Amino acid sequence: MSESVTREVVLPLERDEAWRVVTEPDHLREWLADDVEIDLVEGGLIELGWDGGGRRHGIVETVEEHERLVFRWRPDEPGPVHIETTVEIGLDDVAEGTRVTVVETGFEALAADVAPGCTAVSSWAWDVRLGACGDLPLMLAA
Amino acid sequence: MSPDPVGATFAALADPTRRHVIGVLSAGEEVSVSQLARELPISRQAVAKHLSALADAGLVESSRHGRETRYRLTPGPLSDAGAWLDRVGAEWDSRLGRLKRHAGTRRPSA
Repeated sequence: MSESVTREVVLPLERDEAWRVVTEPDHLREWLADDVEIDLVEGGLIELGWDGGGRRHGIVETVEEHERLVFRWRPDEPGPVHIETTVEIGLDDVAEGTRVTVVETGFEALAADVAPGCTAVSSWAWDVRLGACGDLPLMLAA
Repeated sequence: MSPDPVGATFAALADPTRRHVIGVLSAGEEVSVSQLARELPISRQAVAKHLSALADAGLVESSRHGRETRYRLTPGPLSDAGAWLDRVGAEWDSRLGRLKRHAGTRRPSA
């Protein structure tokens, strides 16, 4: 059982372009949240809001240009689970462009020492589903 | 039951001893405090305290067998916590799907 969520997607972009779409508010508003404010320095604030409801805020922990962005976030309002987690967005080169890997951690409560044979926790075997977005339709520019 | 059941599940499971207790109970047997205390390197009192915390979170339930109280796992809250994590993953699927479409339709440096 994993205690993190890992997802990745390959973008048809150079590294510097991919860095911009994962760090600049104008681009983040296209995919991460509807309302985005981010102070892209270590210790900077990040604030996100969604039109459908819900806001999150947090702190930028690591900024390694063209390589890695790490921030902590948590819901503004107490919800079903009001815990702080850490999101790491990493970039690396692949033949088709740039791979973006997102790892969200901080779910320590779900540590691996819960017995795997337990049917009650079998749904936790969600684990790492790599390439989940790989076959989503790519709407290419005309 | 707490008004924040999934949060209570996470909180209850944050303690490694309680996760160990869950691990023992996940074999499916009803066990007594004494049995648990034999399997864990902690006192009966400590076992009882952790079982009480797990019961408060709705993760275990007890039943009386003569003079003995036995405990067993209640699967619901654990499944709820797992389902919540599934949603975290599904949210990233959705966001990265939008990211991929966005990257395909706009070239940032164009």
